[in-house]
Amino acid sequence: MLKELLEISCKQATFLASKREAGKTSIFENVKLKLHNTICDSCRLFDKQTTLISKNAKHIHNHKHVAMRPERKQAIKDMIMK
Amino acid sequence: MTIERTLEPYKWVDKYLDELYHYTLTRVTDSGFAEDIVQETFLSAWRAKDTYKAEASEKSWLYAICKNKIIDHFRINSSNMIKPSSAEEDIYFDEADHWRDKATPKEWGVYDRHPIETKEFYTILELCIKKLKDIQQSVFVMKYMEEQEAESICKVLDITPSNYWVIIHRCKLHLRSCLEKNWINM
Repeated sequence: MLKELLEISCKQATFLASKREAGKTSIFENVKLKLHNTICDSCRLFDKQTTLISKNAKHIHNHKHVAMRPERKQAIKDMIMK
Repeated sequence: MTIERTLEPYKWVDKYLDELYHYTLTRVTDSGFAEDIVQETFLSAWRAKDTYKAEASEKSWLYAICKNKIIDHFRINSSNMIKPSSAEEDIYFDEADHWRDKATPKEWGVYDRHPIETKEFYTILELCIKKLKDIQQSVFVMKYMEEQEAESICKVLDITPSNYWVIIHRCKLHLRSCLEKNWINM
């Protein structure tokens, strides 16, 4: 009975992990998630790896140097200068 | 003491176009859209130049306008986007909602190697983001790159909160798996 109440699947656990990151989980959900992750290595890894992704995404810079087409650049210049 | 700040529109394109274009292109996949957004940024700035308050530097003022244009782009595009439907999660989970063998996360072993300093991490993450579906990409960029609140993202893209969480979950499943395939196994 208690087991049924507390047990969640890996799909639910990874779903709840995203909600928890935003502080949108209930205390009960947090307990269920914590219990699941204590016994599930895969979901614990998922948590760790996706946290790495979400924390660093804003630091993406475009490493390739992609310039705007010169004619488009000139057109924008002309629009402001005229 | 106040710092005298004035705008120099005739220098804008030379000074800021390249970096604003880069900034936009990491958030919007299509280069045509990115060009339009940058053009709109300069035009709006030009029209609004008399309202410039000198509270922000010229550069951060232009960035603020550009960020708004990017969000506008997502808003306008959201009507053409396919809302989440079929169970994409099935690629990763079996009938009992447990990890499929092939999709189970593997140990990356990179946490101590400061992966955030490696160029490959960002290059591949960027490619993985661009492989997401439109709606997923919009949500991911707005949430994790533009750091918008969930409520405002739902509003802009006209999606329900429960759709939002499904999309975030799918973004994470796809991106994690894509990085593992292309970065870790490089």
